[in-house]
Amino acid sequence: MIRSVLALAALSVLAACSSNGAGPVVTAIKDVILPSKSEDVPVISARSTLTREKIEAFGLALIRGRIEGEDISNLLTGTAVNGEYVTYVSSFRQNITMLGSLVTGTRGMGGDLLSVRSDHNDPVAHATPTDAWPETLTRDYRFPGIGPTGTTVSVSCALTHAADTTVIIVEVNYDVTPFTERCKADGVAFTNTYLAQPDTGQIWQSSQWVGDKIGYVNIDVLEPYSVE
Amino acid sequence: MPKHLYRHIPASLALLAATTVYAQSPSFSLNGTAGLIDMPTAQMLPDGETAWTFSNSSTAYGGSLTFQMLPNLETSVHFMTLPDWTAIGEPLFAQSLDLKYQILPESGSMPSVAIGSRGFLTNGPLSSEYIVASKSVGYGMTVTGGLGWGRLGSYRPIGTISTRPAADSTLGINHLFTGDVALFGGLEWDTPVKGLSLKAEYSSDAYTGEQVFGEFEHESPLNFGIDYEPIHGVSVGGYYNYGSDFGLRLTLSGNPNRPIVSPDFGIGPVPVNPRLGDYDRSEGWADSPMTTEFLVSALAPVLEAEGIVIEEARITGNTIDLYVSNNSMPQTTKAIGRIVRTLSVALPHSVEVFRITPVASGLATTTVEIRRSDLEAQVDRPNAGPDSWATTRFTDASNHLPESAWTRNIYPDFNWSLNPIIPVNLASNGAAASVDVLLNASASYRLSRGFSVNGSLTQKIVGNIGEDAETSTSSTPVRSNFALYQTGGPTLDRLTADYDFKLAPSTYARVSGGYLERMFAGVSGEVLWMPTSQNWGVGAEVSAVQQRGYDDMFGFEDYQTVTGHASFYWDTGYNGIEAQVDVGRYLAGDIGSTVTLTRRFTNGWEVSGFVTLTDMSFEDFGEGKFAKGVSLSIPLRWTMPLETRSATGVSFGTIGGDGGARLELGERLYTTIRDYDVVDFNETWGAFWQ
Repeated sequence: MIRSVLALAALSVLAACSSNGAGPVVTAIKDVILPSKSEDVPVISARSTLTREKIEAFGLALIRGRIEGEDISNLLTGTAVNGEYVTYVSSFRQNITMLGSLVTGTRGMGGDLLSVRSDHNDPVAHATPTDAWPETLTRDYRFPGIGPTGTTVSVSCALTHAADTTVIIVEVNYDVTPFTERCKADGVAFTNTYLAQPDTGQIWQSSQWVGDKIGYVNIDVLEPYSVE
Repeated sequence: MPKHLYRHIPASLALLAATTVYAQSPSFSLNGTAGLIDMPTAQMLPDGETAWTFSNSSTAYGGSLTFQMLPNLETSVHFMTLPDWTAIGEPLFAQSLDLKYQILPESGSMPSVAIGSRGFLTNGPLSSEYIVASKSVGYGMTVTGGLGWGRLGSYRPIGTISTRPAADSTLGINHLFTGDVALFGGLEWDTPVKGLSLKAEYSSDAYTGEQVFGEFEHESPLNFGIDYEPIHGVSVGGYYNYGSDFGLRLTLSGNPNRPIVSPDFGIGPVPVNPRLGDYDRSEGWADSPMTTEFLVSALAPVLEAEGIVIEEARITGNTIDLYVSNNSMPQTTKAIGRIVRTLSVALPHSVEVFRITPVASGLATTTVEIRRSDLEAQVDRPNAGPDSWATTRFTDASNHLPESAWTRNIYPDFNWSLNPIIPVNLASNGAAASVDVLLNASASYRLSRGFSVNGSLTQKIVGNIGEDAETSTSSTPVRSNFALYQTGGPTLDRLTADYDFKLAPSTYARVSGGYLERMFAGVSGEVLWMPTSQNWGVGAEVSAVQQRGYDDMFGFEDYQTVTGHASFYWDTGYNGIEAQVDVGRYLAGDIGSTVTLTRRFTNGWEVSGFVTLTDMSFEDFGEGKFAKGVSLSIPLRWTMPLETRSATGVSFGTIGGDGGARLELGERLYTTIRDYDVVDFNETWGAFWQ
């Protein structure tokens, strides 16, 4: 006798219960939906009105991130410094790692960017007065794949700038030079934008590509990390 | 003003979701492969694409599972019923394996070219071979033309290559590309309406058998069809064939490389803060067992939040050894990465060496040794992946740490689960497909890390499973009476005492005794030798069993036997493909071999197929002449944003054949430990930094 059997085990997983409590679906959803535990009670929240006074009182390196296309911004706080790399963490423990103002890693956001190799004169990674920014640069973006190296996207980029302008980030006006960075590789093309302070090269606002799956993240620097 | 760094910063956030744009892929034919209607094309589905097709026409109905095993190799297994093949109302059940290999991809002005075989190695009623070319010509149009043999050479042949043997469902290769050869071709238009395509083809299949023995009338070689894919992964087709017949198709498809939920969506890892250069290197504190206990009790809840349980622990000098169970994360390398990050934050600075040993089903597997200074030097850096792989050491673990180590004291431990099961019978001796709802209760009473008592009980809730069961006439009905076991009442699927242990750091062992499966009880022992550093292993299994009673949960039939196999396991390292060869004595006493090929994806998807040949004659073997089947396992993590090792499984194959039947044990050793060797760690090492 021939029988072909389809086991719709997904249903069993969804509906299952066990000595460990509800099934993994129910448990995980609870973890995601239920309010934060007391130790996570917000001190500063993107949902409340963000003021410069609150940022100053907060006293920590702080950025505001938003995935392009999403409506809500997230606040991420500088949590770890490793050499020149600073990792910013949200309350859901989703991470953004930056080298200077260059996003070199994301974690927990879906479609992780593992790391970025940049040129030694990359003005996004190493703050540089804008009149010294190069016209071209290269970068290697690494993503998860089979094996330790994963998948590498090597891009060549061309930088152009527009006339200086002003940007307001939480009550503070910054005089900035807008830069557009057009990058290409086989099958990949994206455009990053930066608003950089001319004299220091500090980038206060940017939109950066972090991979096909996430697309762009928009970063506002609310309080830059410094080693002073 | 210095900007201090702080671990937990509250903020209100929203869940993030990535969207994906899907490229148009080739459409499915009536039999579930990439093709026109009845005719194939030279196109390939995306690598890893897995499609389940249900089709129905007046000449055939049933199901098929198509898997794009490699970018240029399509495989498909069909379980079809031909209702009028031998005479009106006398159905024939036909199983076939189809292979299609793309010799040339389409490029520039050149078409794609493929060669294929339907019913590969078996000269059955569906057997045919072909060479086909396809070319996109613009405006969404694709033109296909080819030459067919066998069934595909039966309508208006243009020539003959030797004599083709009669289709008697025997194994062999003599029939391949022999007999009459005929032309076929067709056109597909991918219309501007999203997901809608129209097809027309000239078929070279004369449907000779169906016309001779059935009522089918072949009035035209022209077929017409309409395909519609309303959402990605769901495709339906309607066809008007041969001037007299209508056909319908439903295809559900997925792809391991196209997860519904990104595998790395969720909670990120703990950031690593490196130690300062002049940190305290004193190790005297580590000598106290109380200190170890204190540290472990502090670490345990942190790791348990990630689904990681510390089983054993020891701190000596500058080294910490942790034996851990990973109950949540699908990829062990990700769990190891999370553990060492946590250790780098939590442990005193003098602890330099992290030795992590994953424990699977009570067995310590591979010890992964990572130096803290390497971790600090590599994290966030551009070459972190390959650099960390180069500096990590892997060794076979002893099953336990020395007695002085801290040991989790939770035994005895009792776990249970209750799961609904919904098996669907696609074809069963002409019976209509049936749907049953069963309830399964499983329990495990673990007396120590390696020793447990396990039970499983199933009760039918609704359905017709087991109805109209007939007694087999086989002299060794080891499987052919399987329907008699489906009594409708509670069935004891398993009640065993199991002991998993290690004979040596690279040698695993298992002993089981009791009601091993629904049809057999007895004792079973297994040994597996597989050092972590090599991509192959060998094992042996011997079982002495007696057949269980059909409707008596604890009773027995008279049949007793000794069954066992020697097994060779090989992780090829090529596209995740693993091979397994089992040689030995099967339940019915027949001697033979099973060859299994499995492709495993780094995200946990798994597709496998097996073939068993033994010295039992095809006549005695039962339905299908020889044993074969495919199975598919999809991790729940692929579909939902959860850290879970759960998976949903699908099996598709021969049930009820007495030849080539093996014991269906809970979990064999290789299945338990295969995720923990160096080859597997290498493939998934990208997750280490996630």
